Parts: sequence; C-alpha cells; structure tokens
Amino acid sequence: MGSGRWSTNIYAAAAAYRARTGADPFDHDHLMRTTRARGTWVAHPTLDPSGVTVREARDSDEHPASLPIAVLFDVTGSMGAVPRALQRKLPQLFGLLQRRGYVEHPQILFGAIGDATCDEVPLQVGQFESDNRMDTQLGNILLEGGGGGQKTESYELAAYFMARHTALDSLTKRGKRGYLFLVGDEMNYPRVYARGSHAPATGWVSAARRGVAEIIGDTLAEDIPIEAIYAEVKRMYDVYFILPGAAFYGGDQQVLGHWRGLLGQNVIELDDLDAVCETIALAVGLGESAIDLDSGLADLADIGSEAGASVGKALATVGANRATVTTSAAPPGLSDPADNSRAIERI
Amino acid sequence: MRVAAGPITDFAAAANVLDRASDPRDVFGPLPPDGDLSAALRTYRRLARLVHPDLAPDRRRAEHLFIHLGCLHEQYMQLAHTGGRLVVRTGGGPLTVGPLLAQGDVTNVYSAELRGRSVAWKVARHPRDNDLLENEAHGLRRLAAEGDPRFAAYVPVLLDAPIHRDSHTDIVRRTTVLERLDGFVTLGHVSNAFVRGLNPRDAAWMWRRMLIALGYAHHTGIVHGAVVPEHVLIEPEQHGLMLIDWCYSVDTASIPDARITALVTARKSMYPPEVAARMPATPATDIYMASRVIALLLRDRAPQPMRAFLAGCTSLNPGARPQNAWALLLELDELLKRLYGPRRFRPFRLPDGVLRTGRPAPTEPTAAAGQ
Repeated sequence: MGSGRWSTNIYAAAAAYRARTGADPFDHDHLMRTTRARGTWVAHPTLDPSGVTVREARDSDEHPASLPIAVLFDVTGSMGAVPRALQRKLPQLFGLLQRRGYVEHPQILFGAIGDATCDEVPLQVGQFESDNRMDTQLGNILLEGGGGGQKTESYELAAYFMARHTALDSLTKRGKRGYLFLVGDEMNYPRVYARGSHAPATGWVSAARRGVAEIIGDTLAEDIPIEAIYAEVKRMYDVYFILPGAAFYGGDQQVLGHWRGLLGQNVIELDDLDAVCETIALAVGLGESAIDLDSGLADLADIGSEAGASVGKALATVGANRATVTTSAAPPGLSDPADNSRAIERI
Repeated sequence: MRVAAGPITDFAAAANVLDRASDPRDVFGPLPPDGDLSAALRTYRRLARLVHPDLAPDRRRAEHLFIHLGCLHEQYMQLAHTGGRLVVRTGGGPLTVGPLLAQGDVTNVYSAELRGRSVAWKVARHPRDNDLLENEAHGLRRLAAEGDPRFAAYVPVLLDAPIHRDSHTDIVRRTTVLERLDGFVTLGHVSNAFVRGLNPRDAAWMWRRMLIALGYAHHTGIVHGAVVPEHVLIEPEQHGLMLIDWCYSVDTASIPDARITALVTARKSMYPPEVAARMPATPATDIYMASRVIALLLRDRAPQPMRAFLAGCTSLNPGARPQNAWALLLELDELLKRLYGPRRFRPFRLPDGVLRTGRPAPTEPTAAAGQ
C-alpha cells in the first residue's frame, strides 16, 4: 500500500465534487447513522482491523525513502466536536508536510479509537497511503461517539495494533522509526486484554468487554500490561499523545500524568484545534531535525497562520531532551541492509 | 572507488560521480601529503557550479546533489585535519574514530577518542538492531543514575549515546560511547583455554563477582538478559569482573512483565526456556544463565555439592530458582567455606596466548569478542 504520488488537484476535485453534490464528506458515518440502528454499526471494510495481518509502509521507486506517519484519534463522546473537526482538518496534513519540505516521502495512515467495553467499533485502522486515498479513508471513519464514563478508552488496542500489525521499511531498511500520533482526552485501560469478558461492575457500564481475540482475531496467551505494549510500539514509532483543550478532559492533570508516565515529554496539549496539522507537521519536522522550533514558528507566521502561539506552546517541551542526530560518513565494516545474516534471533 | 580522474564538464557526469561517492576521497582524491587543500577546493567549486540548483537542468535532483557535495567537502576538510580519521560530532564533543576493535553479535566496536580520552564507539551494524543499542543506553543510564555506586565498577561506563546518520545512505544507527576496557579476557576465551575445565577454586571468585554484578543490576530493576561467556569479562590479576553488552537488558522497574526481545544464537542452549517462550524476564533468568556459564567453565571438575548447587539454580521453572543474586551469594559462600575452608586470595594465571581486549592478538589477528 501507499504508492501513488499525491496530487493536490485530485483532492481539490474531490472537494469540489462534494461541494457541488452536497454529499456528506463522511460517507460511511452518514450511512450508518441514517440506515442502521446503533447496536448494528460496523467499521467500513477498509478500516476494520479484524483479521488484518499487517498494514505496510513500503519503499518504492516512486517513494524510495518512505516515512510512516500514523494519526489515530479518539471518536468517543467525551471528545465532543473534536473528531469531526479532525476529519475536516487532517486531509491537509500531507500537503503541509510536503510544502514545508520536512518530509519528502510521507506515508500517512489514519484511524480511530473507541472503547472496547461498550462501543460497537472500538478500533478502525486504515492503510499507509501517499495519495488522496487517505482522504477517502478519513471519510470512511465512523464517528461512533460512544465510550464509557470511567475516563478510559481503548488506546492500548491501537498501540497493540500498531506494534504487532504494521511493517515499516523505514525501520527495517534504514533504522528510522515512524511517527504515531494518538489524539484523545482520556487514559488507557491498564492492559491489552487477550480476550473478552464481562466488564468489572464499575460505573454504569455493564456491556461485555471485548479483547484482541474478538476485535483483531489474534490469540494471545495472556493480557499485556500497557507499559509493555507502549515500550513495544515505541521501538517502531516515536509516539505522541495530543490532548485537545476543547475535549471534555482537556487540561486534566490525571490524564496528562498518565500519558507522561508512558511517553515522557511527547505529550502535547493543543488549545487551538485548527492548528492540529501544523502541530503534527512541526513535531515531525523537529523529529526529523528538519527544523528547530523557532524557525518552524517563524514559517507559520510567514504564511499568515495564527496557529503559532498555540503550536509553540504545545511543542515547547517536545524535543527538549531529544538526542540529536549526527551525520557523517559511516565507519567501515557496517552491513548492507540487504544482508540477512544474523548472529542473534528475534523472539 | 576513485572517480576524480578525467575532467567532469557537465551535469550528468557530475551527478554520476556524486551519486556513487560514499567517501569524500572518491570525489576529491587522496588526502594531500603536504596538507595543501587548494586542489580539493577547485574540485569543489567546479562541481558546485555544475550541480547548482539555479543552473542545473533538473532542479530537484540538483538540490540533493548540491547538499551531498557540501557534506562530502566538509568531511574531506575534516579528514585532512585529522590525518584521515573520521570525526563524528556528538553532544559531548567531536569523536575521532579509529580502527575496528572488536565485533559483537550485532555491533562493531571502534577505537575512538573523545576530549583526549580513549573510548570505545559501539555502532549497530544493521539498523534493525537499533532498539538493542537503545536498550543498552537505557540500562546503563539507569544503573549509573540509580544503582549503588559502590558496585558501578562491575558494568561499563556509558559516556554518550549519539544517533548516527550515514551521509551517503541516510541509514540511521544507534550507537553508544563507552569507556575503553583494556586488558580484560572474556569467559568465552577462558573456557576455551581450559579445555579440561577450570579449577573450581578459580571459578569461585568469578562466580561470586558475577552474582555481585547481577544483584547490583537487579536492585535497580534491570535484568541483563544475556549472561553468556562472551559478555563476562575478567581481569585475571586483580580478580576484576565486568558484565558487558547490555543490549538485551530489560527494565523491569518501568515495564511490568518486560520480555527479552532477542537471543544470541550461538549460545541459545544456555538460555532458560522462559526467554524463547516470551515469558517475563526476571532476576531468575540471569541467575540461570550465570549458573550455566559457571557449569561450562568447570566442565566435569565440579565436586558433587557444587553440581547439586548449580542444579538448584537451573530449574526450568523460573519460579523454582533463586530470585535474589545477593542472597544466593551468601548461600554460595557457605558452600565454598564447607568445601575449601576460609576464603583467601588465590592468584589466577591464564595460559599464555589468551586474547585480551584492547591488546594485539598474541597468535592470530582476530578481534576479541565484542563489548
């Protein structure tokens, strides 16, 4: 997946079509809401994680140095109007990355996160794409708006999927991790549950919880603690959590503390939702050492964006402890990435 | 590859030269013995004109070539100033890279100099093993920050962990900069030198020190994860011991139920079953492996009580093994006292010709096992 050079014109044409026909850009969501009872909602087939082996971000002749960037956002009720705003804003991310020159060959995946204790569709994950198909994917995300009342959603399922069900050429060929942005306002459940059970009788939630077996179809011997699954996914991605100020738990210290425990300084509080693409782009630019924060903010001001203050505040702590990359010729005797001889075995 | 021969007069020829250049000398020729860099500067200017993005036919491609040329020229100047040695900029200052010292399972270890200090620069040979170098940096940082400083000598000193990007291929590799360990011998080499087995009295001090090193790590929540003979260095004269290669280590304090993610194929038979079974790593994992190392050194020279002691440390069930290396050390001391009386220093002599780290090989020019 992921081949095909993005053409801004195609996206513009799609947008024009939508404007002309008045069709809801969020087709799948619209379909579910208008034609089905809530208890029977399903994920769009292109976003259903069930039975997926891997989502791939591969190098190709067209994109020889792919850089995977995944954005998964919480679509439960506490997020309020945020998910719909994200659906509207995120199509601009690709073009923005390209225009800034922070990344030459981004491959972007979108997905959505719900609550496995009570939602019909607790996880939706698209493909890594480098063309306007990612826009279609966003449109196919179901904004279920469910969730429970315990300040926890199933982010850990998303982390599990990204750790165990994605394959990144950037990492295996070039040692380069991808980027994973989780946008939400609550905490993880304490474990990735191997299989379903009846939820503990806390709060008003009484629905049965589903696990990895039911949602993805994997057989796990036992549950995985969230610290372990985040350690695993951080080996593949630089992982960021974005907490929008406009969400119900915006600014919540317990939520922020929970995520800082898992991700350190990569926790971003975002006041201005309109700046979400700029924030993600700049976080990637900082990560790629393509730019420093001050020049990035100056870039934003140059193009007349008012997002500067919000982005600057959001990213002030990110990168403070980042190890810098030093570039030079390589010392002699290092392997060719195609060399598969191994003195160790991966478990 | 030397491609500087013949005049390069158009964009295509310049692009061809730059595309294929991995070393600045491929473009600018051998370093001038008299230090005169004017020829290199002329080459640089000529190429810069040919691939300048404002003048070249293919602007996008030219931008890449122009940047690559700039990097190569800068590297060439650096090489000229350091007598042909590679210099890598790190947060702690420039690292001047020397010859390959050793090769580990997944790393190359280069002799290097940092602020006048002799160091070892350990680089992931393949980028897919970057996570292992990160494990090492994390484990050693935790030990330095939170371990009991009285036992810090049992593990290598981490000076820095720079991330390196190859300017030619863009491959990113994780690295660690460690204090040099010279004059040590790996237990792999010790084992090979004593084919009929080591005297148990000599193995005793190695065993005791291994348990001290493990207890030091375990009290900080770090499990080493690969206690194999090649990862244990001894200093024979002073009975020194160091546990090296923390690439497989896991931080059980931060991550409950942490798993070891890779094992050394050549020593697969020395691992307890929980590792391949992806069960959580615990101090008992290290204790099992350390016991197997001692058993390997002793071969069949261990007296019966010692064999029984080792059997009691190598149950296949991790829950049935000792869980605390320092508590086990007290038990071991009891055993040694029963067998050999009160402890006293027993000089240990290695047979001639056993390879030591950082020293020329006495017999054949192969590198020592890596750090």
